[in-house]
Amino acid sequence: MLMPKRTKFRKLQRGRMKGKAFRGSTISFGEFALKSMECGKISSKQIEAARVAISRKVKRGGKLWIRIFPDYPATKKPAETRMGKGKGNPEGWVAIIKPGRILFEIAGVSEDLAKDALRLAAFKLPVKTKITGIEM
Amino acid sequence: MKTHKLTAQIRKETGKNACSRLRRSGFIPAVIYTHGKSEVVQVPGGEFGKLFKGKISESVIIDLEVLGGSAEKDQKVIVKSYQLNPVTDEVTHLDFYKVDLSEKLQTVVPVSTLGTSKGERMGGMLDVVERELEIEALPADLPEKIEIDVTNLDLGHSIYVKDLPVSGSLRFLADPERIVVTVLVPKAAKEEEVAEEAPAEAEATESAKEKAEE
Repeated sequence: MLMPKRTKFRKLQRGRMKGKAFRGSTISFGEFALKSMECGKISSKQIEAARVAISRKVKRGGKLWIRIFPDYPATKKPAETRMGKGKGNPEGWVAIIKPGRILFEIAGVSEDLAKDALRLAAFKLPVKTKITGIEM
Repeated sequence: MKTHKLTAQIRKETGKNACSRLRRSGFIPAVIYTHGKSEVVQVPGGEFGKLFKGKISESVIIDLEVLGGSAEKDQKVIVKSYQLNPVTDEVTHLDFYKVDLSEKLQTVVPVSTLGTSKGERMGGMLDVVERELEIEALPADLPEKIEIDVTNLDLGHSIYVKDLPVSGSLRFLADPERIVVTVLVPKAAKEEEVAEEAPAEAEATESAKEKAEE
């Protein structure tokens, strides 16, 4: 699963998710892409699940680009713990997504297959998405 | 040189709120400029949408009829730059560059492929590395798109910038050695090649050992 090799801090403050994704909002490598329509956090597990869904559908051939990277540490408090006593433990990595962000790109397969694969990937993600293409 | 017609009106109001009001009423705020001069205009969104179905091309010359104000009525322009809403993909602003027909201009032209390559029929994947190419040309020689015939392209072969046909004053600004289109070898074929090479190498080393022992 995707995660940073080395980080400066173990835990980060949560921050706010506002605005649109002006960077990373255009198709750069592939022919078809999955674009996020709302903000949210996508975990490395969800990215991996979406990637597997695409590669299983496409089988051989085609090329896939993952345009997001989970570089934000998500923490979680243990079960049945009272509030307070500090921030929880790092439990995984998430990518913070803004509306308009391109999540996955695909090339080298037919339009129908690409759309089908991206549709299956969208089911694995916690944000609303749409499928776009360079000639759509 | 193929031209398209579009009408624009001189815009009196500027600023964020005025532009938002314009967009709500179906217009796209725009600006026309050339060497040191500029004027703000508005373009009907629907008309512009019909002109460019899908992708906006920066190499199409538009006959822009400018209504109102003291500006020149008929102007030849190209879309120099545009802004899109990243979520809805609606055009939010346009930059028109007034073209002087006797002056060379630099712009980007989309690349499109024609036909199915030999390599693709053999299981390869056509990779269009450069989807747009930067060019310099007189407006009369400006192509709408660069069409590349890939029917004879074999597995692992590429078409470079230097291989593209040049006509008139057209000149490609990209590095001539830059790959535009290539046919990638499928993964399975690559693995087979490696597998074939590995036993051959092993046999060669074995025979060399035997000779040494003798």
